Parts: sequence; structure tokens; C-alpha cells
Amino acid sequence: MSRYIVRRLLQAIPLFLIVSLIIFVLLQSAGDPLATLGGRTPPRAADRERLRRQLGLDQPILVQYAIWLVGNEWMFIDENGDGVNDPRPQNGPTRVRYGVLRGDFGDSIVTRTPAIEIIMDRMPNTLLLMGASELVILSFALLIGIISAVKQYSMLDNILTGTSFVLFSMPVFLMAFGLMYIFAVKFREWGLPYFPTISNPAEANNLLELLWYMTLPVATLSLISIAAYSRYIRSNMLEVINSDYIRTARSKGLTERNILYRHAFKNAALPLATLIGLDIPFFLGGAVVTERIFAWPGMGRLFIDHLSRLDYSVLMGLLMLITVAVVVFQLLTDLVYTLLDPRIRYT
Amino acid sequence: MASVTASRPIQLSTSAEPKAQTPTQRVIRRFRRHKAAMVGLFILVGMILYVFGGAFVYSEAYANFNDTSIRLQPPSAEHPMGTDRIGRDILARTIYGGQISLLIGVLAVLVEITVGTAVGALAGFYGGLVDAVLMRLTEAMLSIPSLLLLLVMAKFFSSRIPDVELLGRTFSGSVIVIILIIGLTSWMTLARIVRSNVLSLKETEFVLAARALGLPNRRIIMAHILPNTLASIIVSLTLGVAGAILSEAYVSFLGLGVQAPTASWGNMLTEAQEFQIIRDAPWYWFFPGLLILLTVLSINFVGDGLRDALDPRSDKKV
Repeated sequence: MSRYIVRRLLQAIPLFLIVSLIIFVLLQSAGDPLATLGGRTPPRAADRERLRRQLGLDQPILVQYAIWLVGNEWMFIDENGDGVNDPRPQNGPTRVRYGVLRGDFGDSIVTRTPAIEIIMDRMPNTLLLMGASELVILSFALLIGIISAVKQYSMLDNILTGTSFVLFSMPVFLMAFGLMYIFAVKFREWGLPYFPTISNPAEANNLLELLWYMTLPVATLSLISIAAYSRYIRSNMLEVINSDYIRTARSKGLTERNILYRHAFKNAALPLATLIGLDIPFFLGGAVVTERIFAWPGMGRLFIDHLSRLDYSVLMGLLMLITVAVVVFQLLTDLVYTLLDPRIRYT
Repeated sequence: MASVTASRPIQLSTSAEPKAQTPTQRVIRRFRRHKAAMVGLFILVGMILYVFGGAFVYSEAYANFNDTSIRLQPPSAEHPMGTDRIGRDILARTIYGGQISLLIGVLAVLVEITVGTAVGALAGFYGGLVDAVLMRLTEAMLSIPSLLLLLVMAKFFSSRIPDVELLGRTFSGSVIVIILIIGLTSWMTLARIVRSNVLSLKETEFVLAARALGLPNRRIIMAHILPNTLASIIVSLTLGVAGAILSEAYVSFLGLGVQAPTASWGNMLTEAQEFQIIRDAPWYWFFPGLLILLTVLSINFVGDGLRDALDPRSDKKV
């Protein structure tokens, strides 16, 4: 087992290199990160040129990638052009960089603060939003999936199936605008308690207010995904219900309730563990569209804001964290699966 | 099968079956019995008539004509879906925006199919190093959230492709970009499906026979192996169109997709995302959103029907 884990982790190394190289090259050749520097009062051309050298943006793209990966203390840096290797201070644009492999994600070009701090600042908000959504999704999807499997082809199943197809095909913004229109605009007109359309978790004074802020974005995210999950649970459940051992359980005279929850559900829920395990790492990416609409300060908005400035340290840091999480969670999912299903063994 | 024998218990020989059907006829018969798929097909044909037939009623110039004195007007006889924030007719814009959205959906899937099939077939057929490299690349692309990858690519390609003149209309270069990048970020699942199909097909006798005849690899892949993977390709292709239409809408919504003045269902919604418009002009976002919903829904229904119809095992149920 431990050999299996080590092998999987070793296999992940080329994966990190490929992903980071692809993204780095795409981002660094997408444009000039310094183009929007200074806003309405752009710096002089000479200053811009000096800054470019200080940030290492004048280097060939693969050298820049190497700096990002392993740091720059091995390099000859001459920013004033006098042919002498400049001593580097601890802070500022010319500070020594240690590279991602030593935990240094570089500084943001926009704020000049370490990229990792900017990312970690937003992380809790995104995890809060995505975690709450996943909880809502799972509870409803389990309920709906089991009901529509047990009552297959009944009126209720048909309605649930039809609704889930509609919700599944719903573009996020139509859902978000629709919910805003009904629960924020119309509720206000009708004199009912209405939900806020701008959600900032930092402004909430207590848990109740926080939940109030989160209601609409969580509803938007959940309603669309409940459908996919509940369809999946339904088909797993149907497969199990029609299997031989359930017939055996039934012929032993067990109660229907007992058969359903103690025998059928446990096996039907197994593949669900995989689905959840593979979904969780993508939480880190946040929900770009939903966060944008509800002005939720999470990773999705961070990504889109910094993409417009081509702030590669933050973008690379964010994407690499997700990739690491994907690899780790895939491994964890496979390991948990062996615990849940003793028939599966890895060597 | 059970129902046939039950209604005619005496005739047991197979010659008593209604008519021998070719596999294609069986697929069509199964598809036509799938109610949701037929409803989906009906909506989809309606949608195609709407966006392409509508072009004969309203000109593109009319769709781009703005008159700020009639901005944000609710639906009326003259403007059945109301007007937008610079007084353009929303109905006419959904027609031309729909053409762009459907065009992007179909062409992006063509890119996806080309790349996905090529990668899957090469990896599965040649194995070894080719397989290892291509599959690591596939894995790498799968481990980045697709919308984020799409946005990075959109940023990379933005304003690199000039506007194109085609059929007397000018297409913003951003349309070509969006087709390319959606295709280039969605081929991974298809590549895996094709690869696993090819892996099992290349061990079959008919491929051995083709090898024995001395056919070149290219011909074995193109003429003998790929036609046998068509069923899974067709299903992915259909569902891929729905995914591509949604992706276009999201990227355009975030401002990195189709650029004005070319309308698309996605960028029509971008303009509608201010709270004042959501509150005071619901028609602005409702109609383009509804059209996306109906199109994606009908394509999903058709894809579901095709999956059932193309699955030889589903014959038992019919």
C-alpha cells in the first residue's frame, strides 16, 4: 500500500510540471503585465524599463519559468546596466526569490504583497460558499435520488426527472438573475423579508446574518448541481435495487425500510464517494460566474480580477494549489474507496 | 422481444418477426420511441428555424441599430422582447446572437472531435511512449478547472485573430477565438473514451486481418477502427454542443468572449448584469437566458435519446 502511495505521488511530479509550464507560457505570452501599471498616470518609459528588469520580465520565457520554479539567487542580475551583479535586498521588487519548490509563490504585480497571502485571504470565503453549497446539494440530491429510484416511473419520479433536466440545463446567470428578481426585488415590493444581492461575508455580524447573505449564491450553485447528483444517485440506486442480493433480502422477509437503507443504499452510495472526492479540489477555484454576480469575495473573483491585470504570480499560485489538491484528493479518494469496499485492493 | 412472443405465442420461428431491420433502422426506431428526445428534437428544430428564419424578417443592421430615446422599453407590439440599454431591439438581437451561439456550439465541437479523436486514436493505437505522453497531457488538462483554463486561453488569444468577412457578414475575430479555445479545452474526456475503444478494437480479428493484408496504420485507424467508435463519438458530440453553448455564454458573460457589436446570447447578458437592469428591465436578461436554457435543454434531451438508441443493450427494454 505505501509503495502504491509513493508511486502515485511520483507520477504526479511530471503532471505538475506540464500543468505549470502550459499555464505559465500561456499567461506570460498573453500580454504585458506592466501595460496597465500606474493607471491614469503611467510611469516614464525609462522607469517602466527598469521595473521590467527588476521583475525579471525581460528574460526569455523559459528562464522566467525557472525563476518561478526554483528562485533567482543563482542569476546574474544587473538592473542599472553597469555590468556588475547587483546585491539584492530582502524586500522590494528585486528581493531574492526562492521559487515555488521552496514555497515562495512570488509577489503580486498589482499589490506587491506575497501572492500566497492574497490567495489565502480569499480562501475561507470560497470554501465557505462551496462547502455550504455541497452540503445542500448532497442532502437534496440523496433525498430526490432515492425517492425517484424507489418510485421509478411514478408521477413523482417523472416530475423530479423533468425538473432536474431543466435545472441541469440552466445557465448560472439566468438562475442567479431569476432568484435575485424574485427573492430580492419582488419580495421587497411585496413587503416580505428580502435577501441581499451583494454578499460580503466580512460584513456579517453573526451567524444568522452570514447565512442570510449566503442564501442566494448558495441556492444558485446548488439548484443547478442537485440535478446532476440526483440523476447519478437514482441510476446507482436502480442498479442496486434490481440486483440479486436485494431479492434475497426481500425473500428473507426483511422490511422494505431495512432493505433500502441497510442493504441497498450503502452500495449505491459507494460511487458517490468518488464523485465527491473528485469534486472537492475544484472548490478551490470557486464559482467564477456566481461570485461575480453576487460580488462574493472568493477565489473565482480573485482569478478573474487578476487575470485582467495578468498578475501571473497570483494566477499561477491559485491554479497550482488546485492541481495539487486534485492529485491529493484523487489519491485520498482511491484510498478511502478501499476502506469502503474491501473487494478493491491496490498493489 | 418478450412482448412479441407473448402476443403471438404460436409463431416461434424467427421468420415470423415483422421485418429484418438494419442496425441503423433499429437506432432510428429506438430514438423515435424516446419521448423526451423527440420533444428535444422538436424544440431544437424550432430554435434553428427561429435564428436562421428570423434573419429574413429582421436585418442585421436593424439588430445593431440603436436609438437611445427608446432605451430599456418593456415588451410591446413594436418590440416584442423590449429594447436594451441603448435602444436596440432585443428580439432581433436574439436572432443574430443565436446564430453566433449555435455556430460556436457546432464548430467548437468539431474542433473538440478532431483533437479528441486524434489524441485518443494515436494514444490507443500506438501505445508506449506516445500513449504515455498524450495521456499525461490529457490528465494535466483535466486537473485545471475548465472554466479557468478557458479564461486563461481567452486572454492568451484575445485580439490575436483579426475580424473575418464571410458570406457578406463581418465576424469579430473573437468568435473564431472562442470556437478554438472551447474546442481546445474540452477534448479530454472524448480522447479517453476513444482511446479505451481503440485499445479493445485493435485486438479484434478484423484489425488483425487488415494488418495481414498489409494496410498502412493510417488506413487501419481511419477505415477500420474509428468507424467502430462512432456511437460514443456521436453522443459526446451532441452533449458537447450544449456544453460549448454554455461555455461561450459564461466566457462572454465574463467579458472575455464574443466582443461587441457582434451579439451572442452570452454577451447580451453581460450588458444586463447591473442590478438596476436586473430589477427594472427583467426582459433584458430573461429572453436571451431562456433561449440558452431551451437550446441546452433540447440538446441534452436529444443526446440522452441518442445514448439510449445507440446502446445495443437497450434493445431488451424496447
